[in-house]
Amino acid sequence: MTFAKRMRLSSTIAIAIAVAVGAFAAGRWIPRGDRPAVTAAPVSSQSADRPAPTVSQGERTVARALDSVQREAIRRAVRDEVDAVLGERDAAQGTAAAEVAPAAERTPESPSGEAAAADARARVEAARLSRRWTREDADALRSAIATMNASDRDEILSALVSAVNRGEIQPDQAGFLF
Amino acid sequence: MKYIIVGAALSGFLLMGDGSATAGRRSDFPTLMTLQPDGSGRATGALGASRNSANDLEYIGCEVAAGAEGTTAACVATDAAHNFRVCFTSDPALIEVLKDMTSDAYVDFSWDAAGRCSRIGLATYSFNGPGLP
Repeated sequence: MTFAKRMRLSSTIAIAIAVAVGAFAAGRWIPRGDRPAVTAAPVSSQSADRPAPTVSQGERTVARALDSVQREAIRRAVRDEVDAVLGERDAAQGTAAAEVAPAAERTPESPSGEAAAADARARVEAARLSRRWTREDADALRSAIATMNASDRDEILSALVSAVNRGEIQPDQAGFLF
Repeated sequence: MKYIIVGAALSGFLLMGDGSATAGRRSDFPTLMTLQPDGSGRATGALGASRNSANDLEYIGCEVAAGAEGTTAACVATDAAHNFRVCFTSDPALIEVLKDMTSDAYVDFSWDAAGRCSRIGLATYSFNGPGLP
């Protein structure tokens, strides 16, 4: 979360606390004598969050209803603000990931790299058919992999090495596959 | 005659003592492989011991090549049963390990089914004998 977003969230919470304190104080300032001696029935937290249905129970009910409405408004404001901040963060992360993903998957191949990769693929395919990997093949592949991008290099070396490891291609010389 | 016997015994004792004092631990690690049905596996062996092995098949080693598009390394091994396996990598962490390779090193590498090196380990101990000419 950036500093600006933190500040925004902090200020929203500060306003929410200030309003809550104000509402609480307003409730306290209602003269005791004016408050009806109502024995409130136990209520669930869910119903307590809702505004009271009527104002017929006197000022205390009005204060409670006002308090409840304010609390709900504050909750909604904080929730919206948090959602907005998280949404912005997720969107930023999603954009960053979308920007990074293609680059990680594949670096654009240069024309010379493309030609080298095509030649190397053909050479590996020919080696599969002949079942041989000659010194000339190794030299050519060594030159080719120096110019092709990482994904092509990985793909071609994997094709060659796995074929060699399966015994489908026999290198003519010890070591030095490329 | 008495002096000759005493001298011979003393010489023998000194020779024995000399031999035991200079011999350190020596181990031979030929090239060995563990092969899995999916094509993955592991090869181990000391360069010196593989070179000194009685057969003319086994060897083990790695190579590194750098080009315009990055650095690639390969580790290769053949055991006495003529199993030949290769792995390759462009992983900088694995390639970094190979910088410490010496001709007396013990090499331990693993590969996956696609032939990519999944692990490269080196160990250089005095008991890894050097390769004979």
